[in-house]
Amino acid sequence: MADLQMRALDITKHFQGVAALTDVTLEVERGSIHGVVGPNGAGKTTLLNVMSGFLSPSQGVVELDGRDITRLTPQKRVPLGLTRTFQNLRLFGGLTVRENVLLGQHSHARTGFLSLWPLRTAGDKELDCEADHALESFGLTEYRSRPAATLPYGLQKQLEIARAVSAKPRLLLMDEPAAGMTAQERLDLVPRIRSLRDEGLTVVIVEHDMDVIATVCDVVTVLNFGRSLIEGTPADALSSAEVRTAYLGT
Amino acid sequence: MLIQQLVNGLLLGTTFALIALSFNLVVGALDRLNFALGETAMVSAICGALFLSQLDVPFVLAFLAALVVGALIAGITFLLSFRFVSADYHTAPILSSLGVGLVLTSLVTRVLGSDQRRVPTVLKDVRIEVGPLRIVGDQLIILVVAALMTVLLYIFLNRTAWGMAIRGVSDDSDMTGLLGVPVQRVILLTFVISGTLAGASGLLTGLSFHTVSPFTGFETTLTALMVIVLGGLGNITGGVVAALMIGVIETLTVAYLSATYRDLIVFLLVGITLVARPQGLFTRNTGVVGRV
Amino acid sequence: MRTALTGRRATIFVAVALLVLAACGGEDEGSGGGGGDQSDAGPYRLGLVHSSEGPFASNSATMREGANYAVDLINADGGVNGRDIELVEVDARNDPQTLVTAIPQLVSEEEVFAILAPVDSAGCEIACAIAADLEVPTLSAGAGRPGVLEPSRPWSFTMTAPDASNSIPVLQAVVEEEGFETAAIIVDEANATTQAQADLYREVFDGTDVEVVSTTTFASGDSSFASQVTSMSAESPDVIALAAGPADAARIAVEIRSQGLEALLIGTGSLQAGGTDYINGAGEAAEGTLTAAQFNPENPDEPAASLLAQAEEDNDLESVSLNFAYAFDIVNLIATYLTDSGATASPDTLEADRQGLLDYLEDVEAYEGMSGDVAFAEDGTGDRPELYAVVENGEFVISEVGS
Repeated sequence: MADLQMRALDITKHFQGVAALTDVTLEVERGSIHGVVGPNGAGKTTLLNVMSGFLSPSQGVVELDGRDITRLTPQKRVPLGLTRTFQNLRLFGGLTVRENVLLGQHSHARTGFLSLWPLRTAGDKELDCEADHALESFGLTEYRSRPAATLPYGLQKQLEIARAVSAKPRLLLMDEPAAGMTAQERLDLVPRIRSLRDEGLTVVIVEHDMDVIATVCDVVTVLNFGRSLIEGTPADALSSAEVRTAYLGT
Repeated sequence: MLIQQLVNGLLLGTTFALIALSFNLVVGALDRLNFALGETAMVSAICGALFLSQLDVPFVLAFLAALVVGALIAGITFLLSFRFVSADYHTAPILSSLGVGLVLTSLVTRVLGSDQRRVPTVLKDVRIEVGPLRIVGDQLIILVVAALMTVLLYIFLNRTAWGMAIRGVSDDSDMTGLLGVPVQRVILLTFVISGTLAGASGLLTGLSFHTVSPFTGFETTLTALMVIVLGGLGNITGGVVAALMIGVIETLTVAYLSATYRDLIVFLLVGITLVARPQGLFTRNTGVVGRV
Repeated sequence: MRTALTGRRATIFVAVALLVLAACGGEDEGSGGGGGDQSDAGPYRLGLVHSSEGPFASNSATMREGANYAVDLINADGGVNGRDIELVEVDARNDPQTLVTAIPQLVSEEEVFAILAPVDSAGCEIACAIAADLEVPTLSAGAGRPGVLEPSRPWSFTMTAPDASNSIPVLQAVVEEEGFETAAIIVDEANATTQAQADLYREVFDGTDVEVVSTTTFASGDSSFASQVTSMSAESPDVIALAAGPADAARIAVEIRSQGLEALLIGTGSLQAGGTDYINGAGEAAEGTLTAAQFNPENPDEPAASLLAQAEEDNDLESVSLNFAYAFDIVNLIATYLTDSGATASPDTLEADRQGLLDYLEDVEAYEGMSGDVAFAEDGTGDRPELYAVVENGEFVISEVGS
């Protein structure tokens, strides 16, 4: 049996009687890059919201490392190592790029009343290095002092990932990371996600863009009309007849 | 004399700027107005004045006492009127903090009496004269202290972890919470700082007016509202500029027209702003609301 | 929301409960007092309307003390015609509505013979008018605003000389003596009383050929007088006239001195009447301020001197204030009338006895009281001596004009 890190079991979610998800099960292996694809309205983002705690499921259980976290708020899931990014950016537009990353570190930074002291301590320096490292690996170093809101859209998306990573999660849920990026930015994204995985991070990507999914994912789950159609390697899943019918309409 | 009046106006504006900063901080953190801040300023000022006149302590100590009192009251106001008041009713914190203000005023009049309290002149014989310009010792204190506090606030907000957290909460408090920041503690801290600024503004206003009255609380709130509406709700720099502007306008009106036109002209200005630039007023909030 | 509401509801509830209790208390006293047939053997009853709230609360409390002190002395001395004097007190709480109900109640239920009216002009105007309708005499120990008594004459009197008739000759004498040439006036424009004071100053300066070089205004809610003082200092006047309430006047004085102006500060009699507020507020800056005055707590003439000394000792006062002395004299004036005329103030003679009091007050000439010689002008206002006061070492020192 593979090493399961997160499991969403038999998730059903109704919105005022309309089923957005019906009995969807998603099992995420530790150290994998798990893709969730499907046409618009398939329930991808709903599933991600249930997993990150923004929505509570009508039925079903969400587990992280074997622990039932179905009723935990998103804030309480962060210290357990579960972080997410947003399809619509949730950056602090008025803060600089670097400050966004620094705030991301907050969950593991020392923020007792002592840190009111304006002088830097040794721990702070370590955090500074980490922040600078994150900026560098997402190609944001030259923008570090600019207010986040003034960045081009693609870079803002990079920044959001950088900030999420700074929280040192063990599992990262990404909501449509490639949406709005240029072709070049998409190409850059793939190795970055891979290197996150190589650093020990488990990644779940909800994505519309087939190319990104096909290149980066180890496992893909296909959703359609709120149901799980198939789960397998990208090659298997995306070539199956069912998926082609549902997804591509052919 | 015009130059002298301009300086008078700017000095008046600096005290407005402090109280407007105080209001804007809370607006930023919570998208709510703390209507008890005017009374907070008044109570701090009265305490400071009592320290000065009864205990005869140096001004620095009385000033610090006013800051502490302001911080305490604002912290308590947060707990009473914001923290544990249901977020579903947007008017609840408004009414509740107005109530705190009323209670503060009547507490002061009950406990300390309704008398005006004298704020003794601090630097008696200091007078700087540059050409036609004359700045009295106490005006110098007001100017230096207000500028110092503004700079300190700026440094705190931009250079410390807590300051960053405050700006983060002010930008998107839900997201800040998701990053593991203790949002409620950050908001409490914001209230405490805003109370400190209110306390400073209260005692400095007292210094420029030579007395403090227990009945000026709501007037202070009104002035602050004028300033922050003109400067853009939650816009910290805009608030400071608007405060200096209103200070100058009020002073020039009094000097060259009549004191009775003072409020009229400021109200007109704010009215025109509201009509002509309504989009400029709540701009920073719609951004947050739009994202949720 | 809920906690806030319950909190406020509780406050309102307590407030209502207190009001009801207060009302019941009042009624109880009324029925208790009016129950027995005491009009023959019982005390002479005088109404007294004070106000525990509002801007004149402290003046009102002083007036109350003075009246009660007078009553205590008279009763201790065997009363009037063998009967005690009793004060029936009503607290108007600075609320005109209370006056509208309280005055008729004093007259019909408490059957008072005459009423000591509120010391504040606004309250006095209302109270006296209502009492005049009921044909009951009223006397105020304050109320110096011109025209206050007009609606209620001839039933009303005040011990106070109006600001204008008292202050103008005093200030003119001072200004002429000092040989001033230029003057500045600072006035709260939004206030009828201070505007009247400004007119008074203009009349003073007109009559003495002093040029008014600067008139500046302020309004309540000002948080600095720097602008006004800068304006007037540009004209360097010899004298600055304060048309302001005592608290505002104090702030103006401090600003004037802190900007280094040396001009003499002058005020009307009402600044001296509200003297503690002015001196406490202005501190050192008040030194040298000169005002008109109509009451001298250090009056050296007898019998005022001994009355004042005795009052200071009995009441542990540093100095007797104007409202105290005026109220004391009012009670004694009424007592003197009752003694001299032998009036019983019983239901069948009440009407005639009240008329008798009016006639007595109209004709009184130099009654020697605590406040000096008491007499009334045609319009019912006090005929007071022309005095002036100078602040020296934190208190008003009073002298007669020309001395």
